Amino acid sequence: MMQKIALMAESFGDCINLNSDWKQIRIHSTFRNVINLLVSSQIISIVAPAVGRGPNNIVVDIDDFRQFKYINWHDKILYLDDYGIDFSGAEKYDSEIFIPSLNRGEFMCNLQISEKVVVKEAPQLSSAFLLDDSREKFFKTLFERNLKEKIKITFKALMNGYFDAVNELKGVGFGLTPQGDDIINGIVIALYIFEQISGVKTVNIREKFYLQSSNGNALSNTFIYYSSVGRFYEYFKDYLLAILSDGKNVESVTRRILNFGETSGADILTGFIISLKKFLEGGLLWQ
Amino acid sequence: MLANELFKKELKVINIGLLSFKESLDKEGVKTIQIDWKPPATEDEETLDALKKLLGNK
Amino acid sequence: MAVKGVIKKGEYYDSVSLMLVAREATKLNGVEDAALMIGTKENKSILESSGLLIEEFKGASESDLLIAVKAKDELLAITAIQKVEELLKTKNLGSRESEEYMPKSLEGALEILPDANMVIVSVAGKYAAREAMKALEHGLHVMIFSDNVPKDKAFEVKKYGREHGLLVMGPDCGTAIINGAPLGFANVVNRGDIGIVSAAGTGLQEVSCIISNTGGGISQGIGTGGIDVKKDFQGMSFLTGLEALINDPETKVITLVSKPPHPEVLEKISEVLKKTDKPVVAAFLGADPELVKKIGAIPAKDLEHASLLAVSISKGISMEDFEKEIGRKDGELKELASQLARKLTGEQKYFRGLFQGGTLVYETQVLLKDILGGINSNAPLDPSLKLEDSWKSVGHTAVDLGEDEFTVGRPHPQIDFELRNKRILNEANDPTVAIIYLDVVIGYGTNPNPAEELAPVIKKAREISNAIIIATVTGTDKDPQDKAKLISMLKDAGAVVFERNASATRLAGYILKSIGG
Repeated sequence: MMQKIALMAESFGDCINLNSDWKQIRIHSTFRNVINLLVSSQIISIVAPAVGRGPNNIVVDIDDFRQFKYINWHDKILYLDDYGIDFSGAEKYDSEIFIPSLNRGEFMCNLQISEKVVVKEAPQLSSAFLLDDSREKFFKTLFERNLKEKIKITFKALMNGYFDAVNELKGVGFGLTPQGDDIINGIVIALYIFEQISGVKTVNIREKFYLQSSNGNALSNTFIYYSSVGRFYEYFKDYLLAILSDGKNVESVTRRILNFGETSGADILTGFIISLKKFLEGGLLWQ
Repeated sequence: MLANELFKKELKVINIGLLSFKESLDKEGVKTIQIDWKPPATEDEETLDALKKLLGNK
Repeated sequence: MAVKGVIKKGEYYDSVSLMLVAREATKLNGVEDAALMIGTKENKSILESSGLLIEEFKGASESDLLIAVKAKDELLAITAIQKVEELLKTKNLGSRESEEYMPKSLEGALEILPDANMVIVSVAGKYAAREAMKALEHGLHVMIFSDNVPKDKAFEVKKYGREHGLLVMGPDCGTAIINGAPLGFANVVNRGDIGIVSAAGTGLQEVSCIISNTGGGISQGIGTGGIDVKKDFQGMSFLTGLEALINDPETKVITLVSKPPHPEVLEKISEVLKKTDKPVVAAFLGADPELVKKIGAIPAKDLEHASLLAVSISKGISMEDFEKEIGRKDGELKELASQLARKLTGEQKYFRGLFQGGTLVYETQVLLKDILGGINSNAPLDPSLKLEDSWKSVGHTAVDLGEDEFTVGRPHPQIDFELRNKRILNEANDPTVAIIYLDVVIGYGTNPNPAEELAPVIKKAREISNAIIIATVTGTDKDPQDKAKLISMLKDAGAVVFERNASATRLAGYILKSIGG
């Protein structure tokens, strides 16, 4: 009705219900490659192809999303300013993962390779110091050192089974999704993968992580939520498939996550690698 | 507070659920707080034990 | 050494930007340390241990960006902060959209609003009772909009409310007006001395609007949800509401609205009514007027009648004058009916009502029962009249589009007009249809542009068919939608428009009668 020019969506996530009522929609935040929309209390992101597909992503090829000022939902059409988004040619992204049959030796080796890449190439102020303490030297000022200590202490406590440390770890760090939240996200992904490969049920723990770490940060909440129900963003799904199968591209998929702007990628990987190793050492897997 | 006392006071609302109800009340100048509500967590002694086991801490 | 800081409200930056800027800041002249972080509790503790937590930061929230700089002296610190702000700006890295702080729990909300007195619950039914109970235990009144609340839980909540003198409106209570404020799906009505207790959501909207539109006003409009007046629930919320209105000095006239309550509930209402001299009008749609008189209330035939009675009593107009006025209006309706009926062809004989409002579809069936002998419906008065397929009209039909079968996977018909619009055109294409009957409920919670949604469809239907289109609007001039414009657009499109369902239904009845319906 009020549609002028259509923006063609390339894909949309399988957790987006295009038929539901999006009346309560508003812009949460806008970046060059992303517009995050708050729909009720969930985030739906409209992203550039470079960001990739995801359970709650709508991929539209736009140069700079910062040109858009308004979001509107009218007559079942989503509008950015006056541009309606056309889903007719969009492919549905499948965010679930099916784990191929596993070779233990190869898998451990893949995990090792990816850990090495993280230790070597992660941004200086990321949490990768948890994997290798020689990286602690990057934290120079008192403030940076205190930040590092806080992450270290709370993460160690959590790994020693003090679940309440989640309360201290969440929300720690700089930006849009603080490092603490990303580390928690990594642990939750590890819990899911551990369940898939070992058969040990972790669904309650994942749910508890999600509920306990939920805070006023709708973005972190959304990321952790999708991880907790086994839904993954394209770049992470590729990574998981690589380390769980032939391991051909482990280095490049790891690098792709690290290059994913900011420290998020490194923080998620750090949480993922350390906790998954810990779960596996628990001895429950390879009996 | 009995209902009759409510009628004498300024209505102040806590809204749990649909945000549009808060938005309507905002427009009518009624003081309203929205709760960021989530389904309650499972009762979870068991869950915590399971986590400790996973981490190798008995 | 000096520490300076600023808070940027509602600005988002990704972590790498913040780190880079913080790093650059530490390279500035005289700067010892710098931090840019969002204001989470945990981050504040890091700032504190780093000697960077200034007093103002303590009140900051998760959606605030905190910038702190420690430098050799105050001037250098201030200069550094300015530089940081410039860096953030020139890099144009962030986003300015903000999010309002929301507490996680009732306790958190009460910290911010300690004198809150009403909680509206609209979460999924299985959780609603738990939230409502928490509110009651804090001494707060509740409105439970949610439906599908388990019966035993609903009972517990209502019982607690009854025992503690707290209002429990619902479950499945769509509408209430408390201290003038519209809660849920409600209209903006004038305040006055007429108090309403209603076990019917749209019924409360219809009555409060007619009262307000005819110069009366509402003191309180208490909803209870339909199940409240059934046997199992013994009218617990209804009675608490009624007692509250009896004891409310601002309420001079009381109006009760419901489908006929269970006899045991009627008995309880009767007990309570013995305690008051206030005039009580009761619209128990379809109930025996003698029964209503017996409990000490003035029986009203329909919602319009109840509203006008209440206003007459409130304004001190005599019953005689009132009945005369009603008679005159009825004469006008009959005349209009015979005019309209002349335009119909011999083949056109059926009534097709497509309703948004549950109480209104019920009222229309009650009023047309005597004239038409029965109307098929998905929510019929008599089970034998149940439509086999709700999507297909048969003979005289009145469908409630708010029933579950129509609302699965789509918003309520008061919000989403699409389904009904399609059905209007279907009916228009049926040559045996004489009347297409529509209600339009406006107010908060409903579609913001009903005129734009409906008028073009009515116009199209009129092009296809010469069936009479009758529309009734429930709303007031103060509602967020423009009621006057809505009515004029519906009229221009070719509908006969009323603001009272009962009058509109009677017109339909007279038309059908005159063509031998």
